[in-house]
Amino acid sequence: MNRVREYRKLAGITQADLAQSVGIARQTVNLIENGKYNPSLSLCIGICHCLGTDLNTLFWEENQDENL
Amino acid sequence: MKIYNWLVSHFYGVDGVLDEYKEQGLGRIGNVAFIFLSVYSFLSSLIGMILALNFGTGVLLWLIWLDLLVLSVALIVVLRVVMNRNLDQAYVSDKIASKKVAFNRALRGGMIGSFAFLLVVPITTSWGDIASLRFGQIFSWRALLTWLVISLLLTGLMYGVFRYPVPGQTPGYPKEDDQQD
Repeated sequence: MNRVREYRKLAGITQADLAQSVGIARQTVNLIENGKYNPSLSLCIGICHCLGTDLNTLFWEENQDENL
Repeated sequence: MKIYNWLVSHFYGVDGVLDEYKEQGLGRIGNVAFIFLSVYSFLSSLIGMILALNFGTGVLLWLIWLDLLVLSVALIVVLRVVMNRNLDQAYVSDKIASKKVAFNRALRGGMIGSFAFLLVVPITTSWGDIASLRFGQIFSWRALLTWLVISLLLTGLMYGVFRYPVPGQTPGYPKEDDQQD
């Protein structure tokens, strides 16, 4: 699961605000936060720019560190 | 790109932004519909030619009716799948505005459906004699008014009711797992 919701709440913005900033629907933001949709790389980068963080922080899963 | 987005949004009845998630979903639905209609089109043309050679060209009118029926059913199925997958809704929190949008969409769909019905039915049939088309009767004001009333009442209303959200699919009412914040 990604940390989009966590960092979005830290930034103090709503799903609708994030959706409008990135240029997607609020429903899509909800699907991304719940792990029901895998966004494209460009969309991930757009979300990272909006939340002021990087790809690893938002989307890297901790379980993968153990496997490596 | 703007024309493409406008075309896709209005064809599928999509509200709000047409983002990559909706595009992928609509693309899958559209691909299946295109494959089905392509195969059907090929088979219907082939069968139509065979029947026309054996039974005369009058059969072709029935073929046109069948083609329109299959196309209508395919469109209804496509729109229904789009609605079931919630690709058409914007999930706005303003319930009043979303109900107004839904009503306008239903009204627009009904008008388009009734207009299409009005154009298609008089062209493919006549008043009691399928073999000969009489333009004077078909395109008279009395005939057009009659078909307009029938199409508005039957086709347009049915299409509008079909497109208006039913309980459980009303826009602006997020599902239980669809958290706002």
